[in-house]
Amino acid sequence: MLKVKLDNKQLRVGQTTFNKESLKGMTKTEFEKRYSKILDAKQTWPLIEEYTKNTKAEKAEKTTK
Amino acid sequence: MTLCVCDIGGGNLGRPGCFSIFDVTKQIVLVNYLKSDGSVNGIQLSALSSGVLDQTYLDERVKDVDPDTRWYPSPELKSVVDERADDITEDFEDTSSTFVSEGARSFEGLILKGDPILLGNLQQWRCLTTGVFLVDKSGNLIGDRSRDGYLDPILLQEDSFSAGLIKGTDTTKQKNRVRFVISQLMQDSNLGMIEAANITANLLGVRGLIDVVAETPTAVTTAGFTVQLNTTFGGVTSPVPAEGLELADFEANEISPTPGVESIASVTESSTTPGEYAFVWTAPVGSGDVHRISNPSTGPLTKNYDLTAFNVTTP
Repeated sequence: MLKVKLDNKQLRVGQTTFNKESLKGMTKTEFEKRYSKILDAKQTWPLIEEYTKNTKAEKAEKTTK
Repeated sequence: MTLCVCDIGGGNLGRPGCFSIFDVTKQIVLVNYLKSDGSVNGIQLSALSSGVLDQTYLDERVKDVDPDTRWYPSPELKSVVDERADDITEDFEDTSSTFVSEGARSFEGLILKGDPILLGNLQQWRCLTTGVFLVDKSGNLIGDRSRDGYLDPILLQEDSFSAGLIKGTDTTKQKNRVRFVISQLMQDSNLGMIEAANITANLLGVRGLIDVVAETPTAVTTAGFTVQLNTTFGGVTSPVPAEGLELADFEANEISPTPGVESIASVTESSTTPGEYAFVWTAPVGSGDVHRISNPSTGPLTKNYDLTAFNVTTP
């Protein structure tokens, strides 16, 4: 099970810290292409996707307000 | 030296019933005595939160990205000798003598498990205008209180700082020795402290930053690169790796051909090779571009590592 840590600017999944901005709008295919040689992209992607959903939710909330 | 203030007379000699005194020094905190603007690199007491030196303040000083204002705490010191030499007096034929000036205050301490790397880092202080705060066994922070509103570092005499390596024997361990002389401009009567009761930070035992250097980056493509980061400690073929770094611990700048900040998408620490990191750029960089990877430009640093900036040239 990969450990996830989220703060203002970065998302840590296992041994990798991502720039949150760089993940916005990224597709599963793009992610796997970019990270297949560095990490277990299949295991990591669901967590990234979940994070992306969160940011979308945040965005929607801000728009509604 | 203002020992005689003739218009006031002698000082009162009463004391309150309960007050703190300095304990034996357990650590020294070296600092550049002067900041780049020429002012003393001291602690502005009004900048402390409710007069308390908290962990946030300590981290800002010890992990300061600016080496000029950073604090450099030593490891724990043993066998500390901090004493002023006898007064200088003029003797007369009638066997009487008169006071001329105070003797110099010298300091010496030993760092257990001292080694040549730490020795080299200590020796770099010899040529600087250096100040020192003392951390005593009770956790008090001792400095010079002669400037209103500040606790300043104690100025060392120019070129007096000396460090040495004492090798182990059959009965002793290897050590580093630190020795310096306090400037004649400093008076013992101006020594003051922030008492341990007003320090919530983990001051006693605070660790200084560790130098980190990069090996030559490998697997360099327009998408990213891999690099091994090691501390300067360890064997020549077995350096101690710098582990636990993450994205926020780095900043990338393109230095050629178009200078500017370069966004890093991710940093992955290898789970098999300690200290090996894979960097991925947010957007592919150009072939022939040269990037400089360094500490973040705004601090404080989040880890106890001070990365020596290194360049990556994309083929």
